[in-house]
Amino acid sequence: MYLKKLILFFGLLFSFVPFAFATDLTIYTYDSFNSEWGPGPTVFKRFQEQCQCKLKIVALGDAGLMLNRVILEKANPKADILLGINDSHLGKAFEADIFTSYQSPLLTKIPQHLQMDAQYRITPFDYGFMAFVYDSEKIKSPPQSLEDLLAPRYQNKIVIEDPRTSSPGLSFLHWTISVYGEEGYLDYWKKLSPNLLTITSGWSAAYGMFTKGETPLVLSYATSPAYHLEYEKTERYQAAVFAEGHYQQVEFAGIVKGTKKEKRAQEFIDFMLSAAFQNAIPLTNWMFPVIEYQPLPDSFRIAARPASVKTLDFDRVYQQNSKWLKSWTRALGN
Amino acid sequence: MDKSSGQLKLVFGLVILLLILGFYLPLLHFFFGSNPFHPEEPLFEWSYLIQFLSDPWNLRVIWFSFYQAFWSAILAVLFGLPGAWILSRFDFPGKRIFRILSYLPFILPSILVVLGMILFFGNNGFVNQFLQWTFALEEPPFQFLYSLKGILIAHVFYNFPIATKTIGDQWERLSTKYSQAALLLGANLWKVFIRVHLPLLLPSIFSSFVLIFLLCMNSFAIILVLGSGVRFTNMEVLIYQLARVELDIQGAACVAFLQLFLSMGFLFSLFRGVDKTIAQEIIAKKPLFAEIKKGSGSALLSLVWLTLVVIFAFGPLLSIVADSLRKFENNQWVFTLQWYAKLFTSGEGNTFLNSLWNSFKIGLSSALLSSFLGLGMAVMIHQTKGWRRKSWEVVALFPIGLSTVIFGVAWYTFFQGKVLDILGLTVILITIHAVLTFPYWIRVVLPSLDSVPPQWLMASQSLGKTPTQYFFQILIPWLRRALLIGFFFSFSLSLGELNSTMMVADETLRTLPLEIYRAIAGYRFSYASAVGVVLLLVTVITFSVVEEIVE
Repeated sequence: MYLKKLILFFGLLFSFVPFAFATDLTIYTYDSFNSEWGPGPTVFKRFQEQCQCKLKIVALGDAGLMLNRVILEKANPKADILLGINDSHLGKAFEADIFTSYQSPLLTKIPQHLQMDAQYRITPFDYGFMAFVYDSEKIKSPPQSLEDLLAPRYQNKIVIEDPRTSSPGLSFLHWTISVYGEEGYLDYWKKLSPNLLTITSGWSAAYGMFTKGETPLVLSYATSPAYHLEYEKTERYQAAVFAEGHYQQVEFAGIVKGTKKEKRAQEFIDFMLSAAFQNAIPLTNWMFPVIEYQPLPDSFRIAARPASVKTLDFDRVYQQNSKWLKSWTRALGN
Repeated sequence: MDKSSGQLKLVFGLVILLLILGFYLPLLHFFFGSNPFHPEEPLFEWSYLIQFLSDPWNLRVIWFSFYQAFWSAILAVLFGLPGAWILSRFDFPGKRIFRILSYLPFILPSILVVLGMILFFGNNGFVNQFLQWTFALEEPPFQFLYSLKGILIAHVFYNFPIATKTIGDQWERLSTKYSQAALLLGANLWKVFIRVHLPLLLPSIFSSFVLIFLLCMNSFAIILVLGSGVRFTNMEVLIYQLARVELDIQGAACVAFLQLFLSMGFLFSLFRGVDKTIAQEIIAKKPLFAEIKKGSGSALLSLVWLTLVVIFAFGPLLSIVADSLRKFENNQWVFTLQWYAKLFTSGEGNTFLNSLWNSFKIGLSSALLSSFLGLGMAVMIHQTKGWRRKSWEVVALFPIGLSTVIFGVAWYTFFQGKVLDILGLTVILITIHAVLTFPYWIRVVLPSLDSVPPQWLMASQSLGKTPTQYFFQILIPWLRRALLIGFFFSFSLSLGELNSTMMVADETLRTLPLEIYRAIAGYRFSYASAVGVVLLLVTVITFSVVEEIVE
């Protein structure tokens, strides 16, 4: 009798089976891109209307996980497009040889410094800058340089993300290397260490600690204050502008090698650089669009636009990253 | 007789087949196979391991992993013990809800638990603000977060319910004749506990130690955030770094297997065979408040313990509830119900209700499947002796000894999405969750199963009952409470599971932890808290209903 009930229960549970649709294009992206807060729902809908075709979106954790998955599937690719890897992943992606080249005619509208691959295997779609965001009610004179962060008045007041486990954390490590060089960055970190309340596993925990008042200074993006202005109507949270310049993060998409939908995929890349996609980026992904078809939203006036931009060559990052992380961990930990 | 032992064999066969397909085969295939990123190289290389182990810094990381997990587990068991005694001796109003509430931290994704702890205990948290305001203090008086103490305290509050429940279940049925004999011989209560109860309870104490130890070995967010980040590195952080940031699957796998074998070896050396059977009876419970009125010191101390738990363990949870009811607007926090309104407004883009249903469905089915796997495996372990039993016990722990970061990759490489097309995502996720949670089930149920006197089986046989009848009519009803605890643990863990879900799930199947993860990535922290609160409420209701049916 129990068995019958159990069968009935499972029968009911699985009686709802989603219909399978034939898809014309499969896109892998990172999870938050396609969340209801992210740009995904808007831009994918627009594309489906434009191309009169059916997209299949697979949103996978973070960019690292997504890249892992595409490399695992290399022999038998399931994705046509990989949307959302950033500059720190390029070395790995090129080594694994997972992309096929496409030179979109719209590339000419994109600033030269955002185009990082001479072979056009990847196309940039947005970019942003790392920045320290502060609570202006608790910090009256904000830091104006990386050097300022070392001041004793910030003791136990700063929270950053761990470079070993999170992408903004890794970008900050690269930022310090781009400013102080391989000879000097560890010294900087040793001096910074007493000012760090803690290092979190990901952006979420760090930014949560910041908005909940546990810390007045957090490593985030230059565009973060725009969120608070747009949705919370407050200018209390500000991004500090640093004299040394800010580290840049660029996000890219690429067409997966071995795709059977190459034409459609190219159509998507062109769409990605059109106004329908680019205009949706600021208020959903909180990044700068690579092409400004229309003025940025008003809330972006509070987003810091750094005077000088710091980057590291992605090939150098790929070659040296594990060495840097190793020396960093050893200089500061256990 | 023949027929029913045949049925039992069929059940064992099914259980083993499922476990081999769902876990051990993908694992072995991964371990002995080629590096999925470089198919011409093997995945596991001794040279990598030797190089890793010859670096003194790595040895310190290994040492620290064991050190913090060992002390976290010891402290959690010590803190859980009085709770086990209290729950098995006293009745008090709200006891049932108290028992259910202590599962809750397992259900929330670790990010919410960490933020809850910070909201409550943080330097600017509710506790410190209240104390500073009341006593006009300059500095926050509670500053234990962001240090080794922070890690240990968080681990204790997170994990002590495992000890309380597992030990409590065995204690509740320990016949009073042992302590009465000791008391007659002139021992005081303390001596009775040390000399009589403690040795009899060792199986369940050890069982909970094992679970908590492995959970803390795999701890990740708590170690980093509450331990002040880079100052402490454990192996799990290293595995994550290699797999997700450096994309070095070979390195990650080598460290993950090292962690698995070291912790299993350590536990193997601790396992002891079971040689005693214990007389069983259900102890009558005394009403707590009446005992306090009578002037019972131990009842008063119990009340102190309960109060501490309510404040310290449930405080962070209440902070999440508080956070879900506010929003930051025009420079101040204001009360709002907007996050809940949003949750239940149907419309395009609202994925919450769908995720809720998915989580519920997967949680319930995987807990049932996990109970099936767990029961089959537990009975098998129960029937073997000596080193063979020890080996089975350790093999059954593998799924929680292996880092989920690596399990996800191993699983995916083995099946390469092929089974996805045949079975569908839901069935896959249910299987994965069941495989990842059945070890909890076993560790919770095994001590109670082991303490059932073998005479019962003989007695039932002399009454003409078949083993199957004995199983369903005597054993299962007697173990009811333990089975329920195992079921609830599996359910809770499935609801909170994120790592392996992320590896296989796509847009067609979202779960609540994914909703929470997404909301936070989109700056909506309070909305994430609201999702967490609904998740907790649904669980409390489910557990109450299930308990009502079973009791």
